[in-house]
Formats: sequence, C-alpha cells, structure tokens
Amino acid sequence: MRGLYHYLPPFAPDDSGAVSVLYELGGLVVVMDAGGCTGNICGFDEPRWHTKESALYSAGIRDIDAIMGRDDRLISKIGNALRTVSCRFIALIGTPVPSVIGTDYAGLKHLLEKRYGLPVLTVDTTGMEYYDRGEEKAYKSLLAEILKRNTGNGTGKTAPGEGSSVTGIWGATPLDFPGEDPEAFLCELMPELSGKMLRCYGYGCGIPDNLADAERNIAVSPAGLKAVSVLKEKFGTEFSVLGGSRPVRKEQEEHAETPSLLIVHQQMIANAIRKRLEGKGFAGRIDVASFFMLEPDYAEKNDVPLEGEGDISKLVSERGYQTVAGDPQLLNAMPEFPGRFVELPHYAVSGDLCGPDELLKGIKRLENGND
Amino acid sequence: MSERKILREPEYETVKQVVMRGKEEISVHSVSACRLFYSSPATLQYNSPGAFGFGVKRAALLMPESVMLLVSPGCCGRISAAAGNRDGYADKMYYLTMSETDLVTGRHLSKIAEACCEIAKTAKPAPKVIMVCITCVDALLGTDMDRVCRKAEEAAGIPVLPAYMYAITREGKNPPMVMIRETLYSLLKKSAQDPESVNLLGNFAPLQDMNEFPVLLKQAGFSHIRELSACRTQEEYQELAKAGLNIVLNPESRSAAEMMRNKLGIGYCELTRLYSLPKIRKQYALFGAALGVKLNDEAFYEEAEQAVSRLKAHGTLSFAIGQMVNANPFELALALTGYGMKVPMIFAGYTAEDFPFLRELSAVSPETRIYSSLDPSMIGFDRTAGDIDVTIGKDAGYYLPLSRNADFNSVRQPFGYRGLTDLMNETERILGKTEAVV
Repeated sequence: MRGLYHYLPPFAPDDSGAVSVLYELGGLVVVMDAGGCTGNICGFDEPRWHTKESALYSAGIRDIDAIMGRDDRLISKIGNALRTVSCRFIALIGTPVPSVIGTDYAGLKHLLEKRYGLPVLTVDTTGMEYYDRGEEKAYKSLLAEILKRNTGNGTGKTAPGEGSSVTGIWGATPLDFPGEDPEAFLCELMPELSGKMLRCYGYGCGIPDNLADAERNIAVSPAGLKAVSVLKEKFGTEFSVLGGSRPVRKEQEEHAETPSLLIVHQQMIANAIRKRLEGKGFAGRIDVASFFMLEPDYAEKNDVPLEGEGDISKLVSERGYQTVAGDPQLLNAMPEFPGRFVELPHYAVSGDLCGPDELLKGIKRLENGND
Repeated sequence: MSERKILREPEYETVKQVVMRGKEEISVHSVSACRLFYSSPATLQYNSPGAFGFGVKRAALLMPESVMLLVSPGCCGRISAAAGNRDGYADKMYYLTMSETDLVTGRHLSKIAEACCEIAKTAKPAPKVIMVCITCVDALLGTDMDRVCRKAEEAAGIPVLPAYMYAITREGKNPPMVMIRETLYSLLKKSAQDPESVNLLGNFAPLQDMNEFPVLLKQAGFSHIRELSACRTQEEYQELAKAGLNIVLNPESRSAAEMMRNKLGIGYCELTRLYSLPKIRKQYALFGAALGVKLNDEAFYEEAEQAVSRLKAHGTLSFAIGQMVNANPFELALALTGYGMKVPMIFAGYTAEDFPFLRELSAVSPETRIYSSLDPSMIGFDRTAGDIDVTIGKDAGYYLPLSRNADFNSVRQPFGYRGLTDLMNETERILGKTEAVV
C-alpha cells in the first residue's frame, strides 16, 4: 500500500532541516510545537545538540492556545526567553500544529519585530515534507532578511569577492554531511577543493555580514541551490555545484550501457561519487536515485526520484543492478536483493550517527570494485 | 554561542516559597505551557517522543501480540526509528505518513482501514491487536478515532485500538499517559473473579527482582500476582480480568483502575512508592490492616535499615535530585533529609499532588532550590558547580557533571524496602569510586 512504511523509518522532516540551517547562527530558534517536534530535533535529528549549545526552544503550544489563537501568549513567552539570552534574531519554525491552525507568520513576524526590535525569520515548515525542503525554506528566509538589511532593500550591489579567496559552501548540514569538520570531508570527497578556503555557512562557521564577500559559492545539496542562485543574481558571484553539472552524453551511449551501480543518497553527494568513479574508469552505467530533491538540471537520464519504500526494491529488481550503494537501512526494504550492497550512511534516512570515515570507506569500496 | 550572552542566572524557587504560595498558585516555572521549553539534553530523557523509559508508543505495544500503526506527519514518527531500535520495538512499527492534503481533506482516516487489513494479512507473526497511534494534528482536527478504529476492526478482523500521542494535551484532564493506561486494559472481558488474584497497575515493566511486595502479598493470601508487562499472549492478558483486587502503584493508572471497577467489577487501592523507611513500614501496616492481616516485614525492614545506616556512616552528604528517576523527587528529598543528608537542589516540575511532601520538606529544608529543567533560563545553568556530593537521576547528572551520579532509572521498577535498599546500595557503590563520574 502506498504511503505505508515498515522497513524504512520516516525520514528527517522539514522542520529538522530548517533548524539544522539556523542552529549555529546565534538566533533564538523557536519550534512552534507542543514539545514533541523539538524533542525529535534535539534528541535525534540535530547531533550538535549534545556538543554545541544553541538557544533552541519549543513554543510549548497547548490545545487551548491553538484553539484560541493565543499569539500574544507566544510573543510574551519569547520575550521571557529573550531576557535570558541575547540573540541576533528570532526564528519561528513551523510544525504540523501551526499548519493545521493556519498560523499567520507574517503577522507574528511584524508583531515580534516591533516588540523586540530584532529581525524575525519565519519558516513555514509543516513536518510533512523532508528535511531538504525545510533547509531550502530556511535559506530563503535567512537570505531575504540579510539581503534586505545589507543592500538597502535589494537595490545596492557589491562587487563579488574582490580580493577574497573564500569559497562559500551552501547546503551543508549534519543531516547529509557527517562529522564536525564538513570542509575536510568535502576536500576528501572532491580533492580538487583541497587548498581552497572553504566556509560551510551555518555548519562550523557563521554567515558573514557581507554575503558578496565570497570569491565563489558552491551548492553541495539541492537545498543550497536557490541560495547560490540568489547570490549570483544579487552580487554576480559565480557558483558551481558539488558533483558538477549534467554531462552531455549521446543517447545511444546511455542506452548501450548496462545499469551496473545504483547510488541512493542526497543527489549532489551521489553525483560527486559518480563523478569520482567515472574519473577512475568505472565500467558500466551509474544511476542515482533519491528519496529527496532531485534537480533535473543535475540529473542524468536514468536517475530516479523515489517516493515510497516499495519503490527501491521495484527499481532494483526491474533494472537488475549488480551493486546498490546507500544507507544500510535500505537493505531492509529490499531483502531479496541478490547483488552487492555498499554502505553509504545517510543520517537523514536512518539517523545512525556515523563519522565521515564511514561514508568515505563506502566510496573507497565502490572504487575498489569487488571485495 | 559566541554571539550570545547569558543575561540572567537560571530561575529557581525555594521549597519555602512554593509552600507559602500554596498549591492554588503553582508558579509558571512548574507549568510547562507558560513558557518556552528548553529541551536541554537533560530533559530529553523525558520530554521527547523518543524519551527513555515508556512513552505512548512503547507503552501501547505492551498489549500482547500487538503491532502499531502510527498515523501522523513524518516528523512525529521519525524518532521511533532510533527509540524503537534501542528499546526493541522497531519491528512492531508501521507508519502511515500524512500530507497537507490529507490534513485538509481528512483523507488519511480513510486509509487506516486499508492499512490495518494489509498489516493483518502480511505481518509475521500475525498480530492479534493493532494499536493505531495518532498525534497532535488529529487532536486539533477532533478526529473520532473510536469510530475510525471500529471501522478498521471490521475490515481487518482483529481488535484495533486508538493510542493518543497528544503532546498538545499534556497538562489536560486526560493526558496521553493516563489515556494509554486505560486503553491497555480496555480489551479485558468480564470474568469470574478469583479472590486470590491481584493485579499490580501502573508500571510498564515488572517489579524489580527480589522485591518484598510479592512476598507480602502472598502472606495476605494472594497466590496469583499479575502485571500487564509480564503478559506475553492474549490468553495471559485475559487472566488479568480474574483479579479480585487491583493495586495502583502509579497515580496515572487511577483512571484505568476506575474503568476496570466499573466495567469488570474489580476494586482497587493505591500504594505510593516511598523512600522514607518509617513511611514504607507504615504504608505496609495500613495495607495489611485494610486486608485484615498483619504483614511480617521485619527482615525486609532490617535489611533496608542497615543499608540506610551504611549511607549515614558517610556523614552528611549533599544530594541533587532530578526528575528522571524512579522516585518522586520531592518525597526522595524528604526521605534523604530524614536520614541526615542535605538536598540543596531539585531539578523537577511540581504539581498539586506533590504538596504533602513539599510541606514536610519545607519544615526541614526550606531553602532547597527547585529548578524547572524546562525553563528557558536553564540554558545558563553553571555546570561546573562541584559542591554536590551525589546526583540522583540522569538529568541531575547532566546539570552537575562533576558530582557522582546514580541514574536510578532502571526499566524494572523499584518499590518499598527493596527500592530503598537498592538506592542506598547504588549510592554506596558510586561513593566508593575514587574519581567523579564526568
């Protein structure tokens, strides 16, 4: 039955993704829930919670608050928290509860900004989409606020990266990129980045006041793509994408190749792995599949979006892949797969915390062929 | 956090302040809905869908031979992956995730019967009961889950019961953990009563080994002592309906006991988990008197008394007590104070039901500070304080990592003299360590 899951857990939701973008940026982050969603984020989807403090709170909404629409109460609670800890901004993160009651985010933003004199970001996540949609929304809200202040309502323009050697990384969060040093991991994944001054915004470093400061930006996930596009539009900062653009192939070439390897992961990480393998002379066709955003401009012809847990076993059996690489949980959903399975842990899928070494180990296994 | 500054010290109240104000005016610090929650790593132990111990999902799956269908937005089920693997129920979980369209149209409700049919046909081993767990959104939508479950039951051919994981009604009249306890006993069918059978209600795991309570119950003439958590099959579960008496060991089971009295004719009484030695003895004496027997608890009393004496031999120690502990933190504070110890800090919310202990504590330790772990100001708690000898509870251990910590939060439940003896022994064990546990 479509929509019924047993072998795969529910994946990281959009509210977790939104928090993962804002976590290190010095704001008062308020998850608009009754307590459970925040518990899920802090206790599970945000591994930094146990190592790096953040002013992340639950709104503690109760049924009567929702029924009566007591926004004044929420505003007063936020004021109380602001007396405890100084913050650069306030962020409101949506969950299923505001989604049901139709919370007026614009109204709340206006009232909070007027009352407390801080910028307010609102992210209308619902808890019903996946983490990458929440990340994308959080970047959008964040950039809108920063650009509004930095460029005089978007009219000013600064020359991109003059004299700067910084490469800005957008779209990296612990939900995709394991470990505490994402820049080092990216250099391992893409050795051509070594020696560059990488800055993973919101993951190990803050966001600079002048967003035009970077010489170049790289989107390392589909969620970061709109951010780098906005910065290109505003400042002319060139960007590239992890794993590169879609290669131009002859159609007969695509059909001739035997489907050999399926990589199931976040699209751009999977693309980067594919590029590495192809660069090392991997024989056979490599396809990418993802339960998350699959940007057509960065997908090859046989790349596939996945919807339910039944899709993966169906795809694998229909195409007859010899090797599948992905989060170990996927094996539960395709118990009869006869081929070789290579583990590429993905936190947003299984929630099993791994270090960057484990992901790199999987990539090395793919490079080494049979083992 | 380099860009943030802590602007004020964590807020607390003294026991004296709390008692002077009275239970009619419980402070905002203890009413979670009155402020933003700070879900510190300490509070995650109990303030999260994946909390350690038993939340609604794990508790509902105590129904023998059951599986669970969680019907919710994806975010509500996410943590079940980790908690289910950790606590061993992942194989019993099914998820029906909902979209915004489902919410607007109520379409998800029409899928439940189909999902239950599929589960009943395909799950191995075949379940005998399906627990359908729903979350805050259905609370707000006012979903009639009884009706939905009846329809699913007709379609699937096995009982389908609702489990309400409504965080949004946590402080309401029927909080989720009270409702799930009622649900768990709702499949019992009226049966001939056996006066020698007794049920222990309230715990989601059996009493600890070597506990004196079953021995004392046998002295009182009860030859069959049953707990839901020990039932492995539906047949064993139905034996619970034969009891002549229910004993409530956790107040959250009171309404379940009431329901069983009305539906099955089983009377009940309530006993409290205590750590004060004289009070444990008194409670057993009163219980025996109510049953018309004199319980011989001498050997158990002496063992506990010796354990307390060993603790006393360390002199006056200072304790901090958390909420994540198999005890009422205020009663435990009172008991420790009675043994000559000091309790400068308690990390816990309080309710009107705690006032009998708070009043007594106010008389002997009025300056004890009560911190609410969920208060936003707890982000500024100075975790380097080192003047507490022992912390009890994992949350207290988080706030004071330089002190020696006894979790005292096992799944198997302590009670009575054995509970006190084990706590004293555990404290003794950690005091024996040469270095603090950090």
